[in-house]
Amino acid sequence: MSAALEASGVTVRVGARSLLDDVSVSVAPGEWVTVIGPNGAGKTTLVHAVAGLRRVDRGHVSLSGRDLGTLSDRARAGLVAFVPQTPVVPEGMSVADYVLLGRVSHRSLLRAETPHDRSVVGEVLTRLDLVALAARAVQTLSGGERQRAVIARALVQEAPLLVLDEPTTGLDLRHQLEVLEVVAEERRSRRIAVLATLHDLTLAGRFADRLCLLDGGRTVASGSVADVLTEDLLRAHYGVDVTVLDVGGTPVVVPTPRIVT
Amino acid sequence: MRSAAGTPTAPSSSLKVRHVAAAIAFAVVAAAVGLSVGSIHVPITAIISDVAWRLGLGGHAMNQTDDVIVWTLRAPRVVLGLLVGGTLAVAGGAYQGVFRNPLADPYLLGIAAGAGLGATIAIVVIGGGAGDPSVTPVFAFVGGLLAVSLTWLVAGRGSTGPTTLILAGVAVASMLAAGQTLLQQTSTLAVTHVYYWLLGSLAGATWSGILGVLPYMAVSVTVCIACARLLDVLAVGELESASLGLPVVAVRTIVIAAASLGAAAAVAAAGLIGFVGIVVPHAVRLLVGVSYKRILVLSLFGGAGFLVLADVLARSVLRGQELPIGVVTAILGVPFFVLVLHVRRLRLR
Repeated sequence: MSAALEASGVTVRVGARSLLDDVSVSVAPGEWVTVIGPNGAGKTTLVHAVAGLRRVDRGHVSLSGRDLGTLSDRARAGLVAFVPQTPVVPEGMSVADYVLLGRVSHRSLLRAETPHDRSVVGEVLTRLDLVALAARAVQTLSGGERQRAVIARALVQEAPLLVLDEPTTGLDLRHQLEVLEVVAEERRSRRIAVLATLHDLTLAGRFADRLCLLDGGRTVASGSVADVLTEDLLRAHYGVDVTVLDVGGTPVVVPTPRIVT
Repeated sequence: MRSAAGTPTAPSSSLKVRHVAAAIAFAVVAAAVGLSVGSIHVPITAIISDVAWRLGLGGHAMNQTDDVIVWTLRAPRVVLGLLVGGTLAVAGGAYQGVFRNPLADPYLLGIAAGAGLGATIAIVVIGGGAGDPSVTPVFAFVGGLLAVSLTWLVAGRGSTGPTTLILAGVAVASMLAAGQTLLQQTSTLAVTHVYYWLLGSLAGATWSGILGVLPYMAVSVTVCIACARLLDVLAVGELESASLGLPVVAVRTIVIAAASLGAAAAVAAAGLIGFVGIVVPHAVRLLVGVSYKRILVLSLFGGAGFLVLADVLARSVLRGQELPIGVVTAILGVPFFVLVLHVRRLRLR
């Protein structure tokens, strides 16, 4: 079985500046890989590049064994679903209609949605506990509910790879956990491959099988959570002193408020 | 939200038959009023009776004078009003969807200025200051389409975002409007003709003129309405609609091309009639929601009826004199818009 995502040597340039330089990452079906790194490390550029939303200058990306560069927009949307960092919320659109947008790649573009599309949407709304909110306008939802709706829209694409860019931005602790648990449950029950970026290192360690640490557009560390979340690596690349505690077998990263000079 | 079998299904935002029926009824009533009202009043009942008689369903024919007034003088004008109003409203709605901007109108990318320049060239250079009713529309049509094409080229063939397109449209429109002003100043006779053309009018409606613009309008409206569900996807922005599988640049190019074709045909047939393209899709949006699947179809009939009613006012408010229809659409459009906003506010309370 081919990897849901296989990216090698990905380079993205803007003018003479490299936003990403020779980055490789792969995600197997049912695996969760989280990309971490300081601001400006290239995390968002990487997830945009592998989701086909940004041109890759060098390197190779394949989705479920198919070359990204040869895929039509529609075919690509069937292989990778994307949850953006700051979703655009269309005014006045109901949650059900919003989630239904995720089905557009499943039929020829000018065709109306089918009963099957509606039943897929119905199932996902149920799984994500959104049925009671289906008729509400998306813009009236709370942050956590809204993020669940965005994830629901990605899930109805039924793509083997789910890419999330900072899915917990702006959420309180409970809703951060809730959103990540929704993704974890989908991955467990449906063997979806997950590639996410996260700022919160403790949550990153909690929810990923593997971590990839980016800094300055390059991969500086990659491997198991224990290999990447080390005090030395984090100090070197985030520029702060941290203590990594072991709480019940999971690493907890506690920053020390003193800037390393 | 649950069907009988217990599987939850999402509610539908698709077109409702009762909405379409109401919109068609509005256009039909407007058309009937348009045929009936004028300097000589012909009762609607007499018109209905005449139509029934023609269809062999009873009723009786009108007297000959009324027959000429209704079917020879008013009917082409009413039909052109329906076509121009419907096309402008659909084109405006489509532009609003593509640009994700409620203030977009069919003239956003330079059609008005280009058509104005084209018409001015026809009036000043070809018509020697007067303008030939068979030449001016052709020049206006071509001028409008050339202006949009120029905007599209300046903005990098649509590959850059909507903001660049709008800015390019502003630049192209300013340049063409300046050229048009310059040209019309060379002839004092032309100023009046150009001015009246710019204000818009349905007075010159003829069956052959209608047949000339109808194919463009039909293609425009059909393509825009066929793309309505794609405009709904585009509502989440370019990045996200691309991630959902939408070929964003292609969709944008096709919808802009189709809407511009219709708007250019409308302008060629009736001059620059403002406000229909903004106020009608807006009113529809406020009444039935944000889905373009509804907005575009209902705007077609709503715009058709609206423009015919505006024309009725234009030719009946002052005795023996016509108001420019563009003035009427604005005067009529603004209070109507305020009313719709008010109704919506009350409903939300």
